[in-house]
Amino acid sequence: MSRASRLRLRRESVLAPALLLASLSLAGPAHADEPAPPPPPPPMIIVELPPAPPPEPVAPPPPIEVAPQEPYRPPPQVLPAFRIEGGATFTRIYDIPINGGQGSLAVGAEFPGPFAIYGNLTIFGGQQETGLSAVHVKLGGEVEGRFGRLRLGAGVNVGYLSLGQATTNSDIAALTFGVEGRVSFDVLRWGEREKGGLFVVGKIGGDAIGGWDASPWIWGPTVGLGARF
Amino acid sequence: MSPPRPWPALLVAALLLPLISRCSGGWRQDELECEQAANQLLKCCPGFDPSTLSCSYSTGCGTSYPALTVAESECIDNESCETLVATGVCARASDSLPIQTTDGGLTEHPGVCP
Repeated sequence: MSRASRLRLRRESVLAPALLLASLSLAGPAHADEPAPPPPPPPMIIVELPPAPPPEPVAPPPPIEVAPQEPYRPPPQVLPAFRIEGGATFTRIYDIPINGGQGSLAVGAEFPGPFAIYGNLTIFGGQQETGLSAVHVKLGGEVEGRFGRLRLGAGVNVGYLSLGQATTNSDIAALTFGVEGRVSFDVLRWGEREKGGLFVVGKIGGDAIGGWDASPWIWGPTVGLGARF
Repeated sequence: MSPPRPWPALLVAALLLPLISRCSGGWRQDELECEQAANQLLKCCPGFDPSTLSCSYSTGCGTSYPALTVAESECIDNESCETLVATGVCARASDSLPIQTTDGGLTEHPGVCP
């Protein structure tokens, strides 16, 4: 063995125990029965990021086209109606004027279409030319068309006409069969489908006295006011 | 089973009623005008009894017409009470008799008005 090899061997034999002791001293006091302490936490790394750009304004989503939904409406109903009216009547038989007033009550139905039907009772009371009495009671039916506030109607009726006489204590009387046309204008309207109203009315009618054949007619206009409920 | 409909019955009644009503006889113009005149005389002529004036038209044994013609009745209706009294219409009307046919012709009928 050369001198260099012997020196190196001697140096290693001296250094090995020294390194062992050094490593044991670095490990702290020797406690053979205690667990090893936890390893130190890793170093905290702080990364500084560039500031985030401001958020761009976001446009609201376009509105979704939805057809407006109408509230549920039940199908139009036939509305019952009641009508009361009164007016002045100017009629005549032959050349004999018979003037007076009349009142009318009617019960009917207002249909969803622009028309209505009524049954009516009309009572007329008046005087003949020289003051003799005249009474005319009629029962009838009519159809009325609605044109906004304007109404046009036509109807038929059966009546009982009684005229006072001067030469006897009794009246003369006969059945009548008539036709009538009417026009009214609603000054005020109210209620469902504006069925109700306060109106002015004009009527013209003619009634055959006692039959259609060779019988006189009592005919003439009426103007008046009425209300419908 | 549906309830009976009233309209057919009402329609039939409406068609038949004029025929039934014809049985009561029509109203003549001379009758109605005569009644107007009688009421005017009643209001204007003192002591006038309208029941003495016949204003009816009747057929049977001959034909009877009202005691006043249409023209006379209208004349009386249009005159004032003073005129009716002053011109003697009231007196003549009280004596007026029904106009009757005799042998196909009218009876003599003195004028009442004017």
